[in-house]
Amino acid sequence: MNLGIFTAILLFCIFSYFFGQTTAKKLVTNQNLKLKTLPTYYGYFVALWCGIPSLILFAVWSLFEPTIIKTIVVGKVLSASQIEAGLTTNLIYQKILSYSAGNFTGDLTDTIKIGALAYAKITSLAYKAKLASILSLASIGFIYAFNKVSKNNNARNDVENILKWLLFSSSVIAILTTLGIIFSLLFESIKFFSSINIFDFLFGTNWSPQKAFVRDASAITAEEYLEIKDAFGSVPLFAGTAFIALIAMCVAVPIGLFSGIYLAEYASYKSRRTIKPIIEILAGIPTVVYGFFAALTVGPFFREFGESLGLNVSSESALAAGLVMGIMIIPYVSSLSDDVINAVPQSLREGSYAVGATKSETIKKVVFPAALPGIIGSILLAVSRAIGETMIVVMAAGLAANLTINPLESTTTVTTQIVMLLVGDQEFDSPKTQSAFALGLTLFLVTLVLNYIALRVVKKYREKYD
Amino acid sequence: MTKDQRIKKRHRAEARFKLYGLLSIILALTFVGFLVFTIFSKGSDAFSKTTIKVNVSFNAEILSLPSNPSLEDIQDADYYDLALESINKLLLTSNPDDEKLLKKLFSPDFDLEIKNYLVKNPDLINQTQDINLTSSDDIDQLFKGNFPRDIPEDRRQVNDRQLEIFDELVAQDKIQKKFNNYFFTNGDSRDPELAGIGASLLGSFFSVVICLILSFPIAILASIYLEEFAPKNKITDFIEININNLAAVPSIVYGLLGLGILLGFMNFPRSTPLVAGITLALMTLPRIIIPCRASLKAVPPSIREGALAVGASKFQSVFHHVVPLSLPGTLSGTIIGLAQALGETAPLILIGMVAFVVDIPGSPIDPASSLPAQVYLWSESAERGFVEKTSATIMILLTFLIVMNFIAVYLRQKFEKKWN
Amino acid sequence: MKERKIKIKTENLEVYYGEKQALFDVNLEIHEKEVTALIGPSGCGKSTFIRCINRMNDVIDICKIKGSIEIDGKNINHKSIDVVRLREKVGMVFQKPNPFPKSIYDNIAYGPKIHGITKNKGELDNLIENSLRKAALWNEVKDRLHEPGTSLSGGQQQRLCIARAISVNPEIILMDEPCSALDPIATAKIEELIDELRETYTIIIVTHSMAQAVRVSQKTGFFHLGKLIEFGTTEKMFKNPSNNMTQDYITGRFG
Repeated sequence: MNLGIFTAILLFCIFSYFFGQTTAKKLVTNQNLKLKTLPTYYGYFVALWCGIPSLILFAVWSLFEPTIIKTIVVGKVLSASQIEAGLTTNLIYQKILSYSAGNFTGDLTDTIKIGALAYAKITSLAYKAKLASILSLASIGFIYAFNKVSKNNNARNDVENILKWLLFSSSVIAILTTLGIIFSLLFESIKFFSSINIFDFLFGTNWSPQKAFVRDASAITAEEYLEIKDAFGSVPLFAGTAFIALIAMCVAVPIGLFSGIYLAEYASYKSRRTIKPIIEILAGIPTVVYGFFAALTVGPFFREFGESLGLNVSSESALAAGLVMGIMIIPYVSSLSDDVINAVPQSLREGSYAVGATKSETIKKVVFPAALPGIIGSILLAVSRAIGETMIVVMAAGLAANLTINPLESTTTVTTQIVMLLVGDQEFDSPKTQSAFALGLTLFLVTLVLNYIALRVVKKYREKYD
Repeated sequence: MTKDQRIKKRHRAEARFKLYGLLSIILALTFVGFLVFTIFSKGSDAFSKTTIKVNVSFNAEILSLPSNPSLEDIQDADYYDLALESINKLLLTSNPDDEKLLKKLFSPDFDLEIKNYLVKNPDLINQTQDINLTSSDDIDQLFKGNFPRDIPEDRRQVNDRQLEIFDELVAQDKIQKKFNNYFFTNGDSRDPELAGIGASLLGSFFSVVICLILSFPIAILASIYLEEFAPKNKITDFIEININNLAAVPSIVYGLLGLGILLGFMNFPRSTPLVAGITLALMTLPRIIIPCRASLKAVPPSIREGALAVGASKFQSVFHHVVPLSLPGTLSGTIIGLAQALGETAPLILIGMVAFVVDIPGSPIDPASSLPAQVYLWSESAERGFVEKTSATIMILLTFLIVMNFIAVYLRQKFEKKWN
Repeated sequence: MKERKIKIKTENLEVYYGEKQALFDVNLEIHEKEVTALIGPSGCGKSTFIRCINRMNDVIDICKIKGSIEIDGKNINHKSIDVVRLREKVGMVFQKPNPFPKSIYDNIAYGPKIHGITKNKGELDNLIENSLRKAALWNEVKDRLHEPGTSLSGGQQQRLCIARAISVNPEIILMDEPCSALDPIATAKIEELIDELRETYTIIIVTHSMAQAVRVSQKTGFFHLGKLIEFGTTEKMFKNPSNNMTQDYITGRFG
C-alpha cells in the first residue's frame, strides 16, 4: 500500500522534472529569453517542489498513522471507562490485529470481530485520505514551481537553496536521535522514580524485581510500596557489570597493548598488513556468536576444569563471560594503540636511538609515555564497550543478582537485566518494565561520560602532534 | 655491574620484550582460529540431514481419492494412514508397540513429505516408489555420531528397541545422509529436524535493506553539510560531539529507543523488519557519518579551489568533484556499518524479534526474526540437534559478514586515492 | 702542523636504498678533534653518509651497505659490534631539534640512566650540569630544569639536544644540518659552541651553507650525486679547489 503511494510520488516527480525542463526550453524558443541557467535546473526545481513536501507529508502521516488508527478502533470497541483502565487495550488491540492478519488463535469474542471490521474500514479510509492529501500537496507544489519557472527564476540558485536546507535537516536528524534517546529513557524513568525512590534504586543492594508484581503503577498502596521498595536496588547490577568488565580488561589490555606495540614497532610492513586485518576480524564477529561460544564451550570447560581441581565453579561464571568479552575487546585496544604509537614522530625515536638506547628501551621510555594519552583514550573506549555489551553476558553470565568478588561465581549485569525485564509478555506500565528504562538511562549516562572523556583525551593528544 | 654485564642484561630485556609482543599476537590469532574452527566443525553437520528410505505405494483407496483425481483432490487428501502403512512395511513384525516406536524414528512431517511427493508427481497414483523421508532429530544425531550410545537406557532419548531397529535399517542401507534443504526453506520449528533459517534470513534481509534505505541518504547528506557547508561555530561543534557520542552508545540503548518510541509511542507493529530497520538505521547513522566525513576531509582543498576557479558554484564543486572522490571511503564505511547492523541482536530482542516465527515473512511488516536473533533463540534450546543448527546459522552469518568486509576493504584499497 | 690521528675511515663505501644507489665508492678519512664539514647540493648523499657512521640507517629496512667503515681501526658493521655501544660513542644532533616530551632534566638524564653511567643522584646532577654547561645552556635553564624540554626556543632546544648527545660522553658528534631550522642569532651561538666542542670531540657537520663550512670547519668534503668529489682542508677547498665541479659549486654555478 505504502509502496504504491511512494511509487506515485516518484512518478509525479519524474513527470514534473521533464515538464519543468521542457517549459524552460520553451521560454527560449517562444519568448526568445535567455535562460538564467541550464534547463535541467528548472526541471529539478519543479521536481523538488513536488517531491519534498509530499515526502514530508508521507513520512509524518505514516509515523502517526498507527497510533491514530489504534485510538479510533479502540474507541469504537471499548467504552471510555475501560480505556481509562489502560491495561487491556494493548492486549485487545493486538488480538484485533492478528485476527485481521488471519493468524488468530484463541477465543474469538464479539469485541474482536467488531474491532476487526472497524480496523478494516478505518485503514482503507486512511489510505484514501493519505493518497488524496499527498497528491493535492504535490499538485500545489507543482503549480507554485511552474509559476516561478514561467517567470524565468534563477533555478540553479533556488535548487541549491533547497538542497542546502535539505542537507541541514539531515544533520538535524542526527541530533534528533540523541533527543529521542534521552526523551524515551527519561520519560519512563521519571514514571519509575515516582514509584521507587531514586536513592533506593541507586544505592540499594537487593535486586529481585520478580517480587514487584504490581497491578497498577499509578496507584501503589502503602503496603505494596513497602514490599517492592527494596526490590530495585541496582548496586549488585553495576557491581556485576564492573566486575566482568574488569576481567575483560585484564585479558584485553595486556594482549591488545603488546600486540599493538609489536605491530607498530617490530612487525615488517608485509606482516603488519596481513596480521592487523585478521585480528580485526575479532571485532567484526557478532557478539551473539561470542555468547554462543561462551555458553557452549568456555563456560562448561571452566566448570569441568574447576571440578577436577576440586573447586566449585558455576557454568555461568563471571570468569567465562569476562574472558570471552576480553577476547572480543582485544582488537579495540590493539588497533587503536597501534595507530596511536605510529603517530608518535619518528624523530623522537631517532633521538633515542642516537643516544644508544635499545628498541625496547625507546618504546618503554620515550614512545609509550608520548603515546600514553592516546592509549588511555583507547582503553577508556574499550571499557565503555565492555560495559555496554549485552549478548555475551545474556548468554554466558548469570541471571541472579549476586554481589561477589569471586570470579568463579555467576553474577548478572545491567544489560542482562534490561533484556530479562523486557522480554516476554509485559504490561507496559509496571515498575518492572519502567526499571529497565531507568537502568538504560544510567547506562547511557555512564557510557556518555566515559566516551566524552576518552574522546577529549585522544583529541588533545592528537593536537600535540599535528 | 660491569659495562659488559649491563649491556647483556639490556639485550636480554630487549629480546624478552619482543617475545611478549610476538606471544600476544600469536595468542590473539589463536583465539580467532579457535573460534572459527569450533563454529565450523560443529556447524557443518547441519547442512545434511538423515533420511530413511521407505517404500510407499500410493494406493488411491487408502487415500480415498476418486478415479481420475484432480490436483486439488490430491492436495486435500489425508496421508496419515498411508504414511503409517508405508513405514510399518520396514519391519517384518506387526507388534503395536514397535509401530509406535517406529513412528518416532521419523520427523513429525513424514506424512506431509509423502503428500508433497505425490503432488509433484501425480502420475504415481497406484504405483510404488522408494522415498527418502526425513528422520527424527534423535535418529539424525545418532547417525551423525553425536549421540552417546553407552549411557543407560532411561537416560537416553532413544530406547534399546529403537536402537535395534535403527541398526537393522542401517544394515539394510536404508539410512542415508542427504542435503538438508529444510535448513534454508523452513522457518523456525520446535523440532530441530524441521527447523530452518528461512524466516530469519528473509527477516535479516528486509531489516538491513530498510536500514540502508533510511540511513545511507541521510548520513551522506548530513556529512556533506557538516563538512562542506556548515559554518564553524558552537552549534556545529555540538552536533559533531553528539554524533561521535552516538556512535559509541551501547546498542541496547537503541533497543530501548525503538521500544519506547516506535512501539510504545507510535504503535508500530511489533517484531517486524520495519521497526528493526528503523532502529538499526538510527544506530548506523552515526557509524556512516564518521567515515564519510573523514573521506570528505581527506580530499585536498586544491580540488575544490580548482573547480571554483573555473566558475563552478560551491554546490557544483562539492557534488561534481569532491563527493565522487570521497566515494570509496564512504562506501566502504557504509558497508562496514551495515555489516555491524546485520550482526546486531540486543536491540532486536527488545523490539520483539525473538518471537517464535514459523512462517516466512512476505513483506517488511510481517513478523520475522533475524539471523543473530535466531542464533540466540536456538542456543537457549536444550536439544542437541539445535547446536549444529545454531553453529550452521553462525557460519552463514559470518560468511555474509566476511564477504561484506572483504568488499569494503577491497573498495577502499583499490579505489581510494592517497593524497600524499 | 702535524696531522691529527685518523678517527674515522671509510673505504669503498656504497649505500643502497632498495634498488636505488645513494652513495658510490666513498673513501674518506676524518681526523680526531677537529670539525669536518660536508657540503653539496640537496640529495647528494651527505645525510646518508653521516647516518652510516652511527648506523642510524639500520632503522631503515631497505637500506644496504657495502664497503667498510672503521672507527679507531675497527669495522663498525662487523657482527661483533654492539650498535648500542657504538651509539654511546658516536652521538648525533638532528636537523630539526627533537627533545623528548620530558623535562629538561630528564632529557639529559635519559642517556646516562640507560647506560648506567652514574651511580647516584648526586653524580647524575653533576653530569647534567656539566653537559648543559658544555652546551652553553646551563645559565639559561638552571632555574627551570623541571620544565618540559619543548617549552624552550628553537635554538635552546637544539643546544639541549647537543647537551643530550654530550651526556653519554661520546668521542664523535655527528651534526646533520643542525642550524637549518634556526634563526641567525641562534645559529651564531651554536657555531660558537661547535668551536669550543672541537677541543674535546671529533665533529662532522653536514651543512647547506658554504659560509658556515668556512666559519666552523677545518676540513671539508664536497659531495655530488652520491660521490665524494673532493676532500681537503677548508682553506684549500674554498680558495683553490682542484676539481672543476667543486669550483662550480662554490662559485654558485649550481646549487
